[in-house]
Amino acid sequence: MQPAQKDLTGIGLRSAHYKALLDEQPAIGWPEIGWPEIGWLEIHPENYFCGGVHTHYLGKARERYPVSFHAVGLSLGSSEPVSRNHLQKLKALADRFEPVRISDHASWSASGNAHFNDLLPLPYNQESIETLCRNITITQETLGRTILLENPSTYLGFSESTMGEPEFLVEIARRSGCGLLLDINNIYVQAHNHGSNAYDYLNSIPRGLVEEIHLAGHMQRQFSHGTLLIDTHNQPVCDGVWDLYRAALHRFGGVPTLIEWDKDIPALDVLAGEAKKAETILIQEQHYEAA
Amino acid sequence: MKLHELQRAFADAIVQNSPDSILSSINGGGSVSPAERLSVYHNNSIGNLTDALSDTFSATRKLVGDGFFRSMVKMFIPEHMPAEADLNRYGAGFPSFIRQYPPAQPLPYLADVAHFEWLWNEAFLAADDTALAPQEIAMISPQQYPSMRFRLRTSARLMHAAYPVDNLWHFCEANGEGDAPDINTGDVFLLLMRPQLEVITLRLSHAEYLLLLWLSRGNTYEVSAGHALQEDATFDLTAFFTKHFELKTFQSLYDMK
Repeated sequence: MQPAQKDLTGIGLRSAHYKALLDEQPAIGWPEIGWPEIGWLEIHPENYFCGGVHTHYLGKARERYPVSFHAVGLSLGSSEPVSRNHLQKLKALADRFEPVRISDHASWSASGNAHFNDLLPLPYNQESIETLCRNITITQETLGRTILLENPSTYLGFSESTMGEPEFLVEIARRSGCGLLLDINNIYVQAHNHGSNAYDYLNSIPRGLVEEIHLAGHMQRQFSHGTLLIDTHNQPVCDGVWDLYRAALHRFGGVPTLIEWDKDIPALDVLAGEAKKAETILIQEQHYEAA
Repeated sequence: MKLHELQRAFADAIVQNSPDSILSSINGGGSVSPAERLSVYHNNSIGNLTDALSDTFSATRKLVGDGFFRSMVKMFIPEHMPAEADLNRYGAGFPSFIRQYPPAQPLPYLADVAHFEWLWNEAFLAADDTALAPQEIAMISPQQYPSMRFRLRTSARLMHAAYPVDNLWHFCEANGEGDAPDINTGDVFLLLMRPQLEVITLRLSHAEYLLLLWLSRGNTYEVSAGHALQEDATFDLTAFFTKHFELKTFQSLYDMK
């Protein structure tokens, strides 16, 4: 086991766990009782654009752990430029809490004055590449650092698309200089929803671009003649996603890995148990590579 | 379609739950139809906004039940999409929507409870600040007292309602345990504020409310105290200051002559 491994496993910091994780003597981070070594915590920065309880606990979290920012509100894929106001708030928060990584999604959520608080799909073509690159560049210049772009779960495709999703993401990373946050569950969901192969997807991403991995749970929804997988973040990670994760580590090496659980949030020990599984695979795969 | 046209059409389709404007661009593939695929986005988007309103206005929801609340929200959302990405700040217009919503008319206190919840949310999310130290007053000469202006804490919110919305809110927070509050007890005057981490809600006398209200609108102590004393000639100004220094209601003094 390499010592560096202990910093790779992270969990999302959610308000339901503030007290258990940060006020009480944290059981988490105590490998003796079977919990993983938590290397970092991830937050949605939009929840901390204010004072009070949230910011108080983010300060406490930051005293004990590295923190990463996973933004959901930049709407990098919108045809309109990124909101300067939103970006300034993000910058102020980043200046104060010094996140190890900042990420958002290859999707859009705002059109005109309406924000959807959902990750809406883009056609995969040159115009979308240029739009994302423009907004990523504005973001990176304002923040003074590179960001990571995450692959979304989508439920439909557009006739305007001219390329596949991995090719699309890789081209954006090359042009804008951003890294990729690979959500393994989203790749799994995409493969089901669009009839593609998740392992081919992984193999289309060059080594070295992936700087963070997300794992989450999804649900299956039945329609009149078929099913879609919905990226719900309210479940344990399924076996198929764990298998795909193992393959991703084999390809990309030891990448910081986060368990995402945003709805029907379980007790902290359940979340820690999921993180423990990721940690175990990280250790095994590194072992495998080293052999 | 160009991207901006596609995004506008997609947004309209989701908000209105009618796929026609975008259907020609969707090729789902497989056995799930384009319209069914699009419906996932409608359900997710509206579901997220419904959840956000349900959290912020939880007492309102408990008072009317989930079914009634959902019908109300379903009417509200398409006309009031969030203007910013921060969902915690979504729903400013919901109390006044409820006031006009015909099925809610038999519950005249409902809009007031929603307004109370919105103010509570604003207090909860307000920027951090620090309280005025009593020593700062001690340094002021008595001749200056009439011209003192006080800034209230960033989180301070004042409310006047015709119903005991604070009791109704506490009753809902306790999930209906205990006796239901009597709603016909007359007007209430309230201060909601987050002195540090917790939001507090406090009943005020009418005169006390007026004094804080006039101060909060930028008036001098002399003018504001005049309104309080007009309401209650026996109002104790010294006790008022003792109490509100202890509560840390004031943030700073400004614009003194």
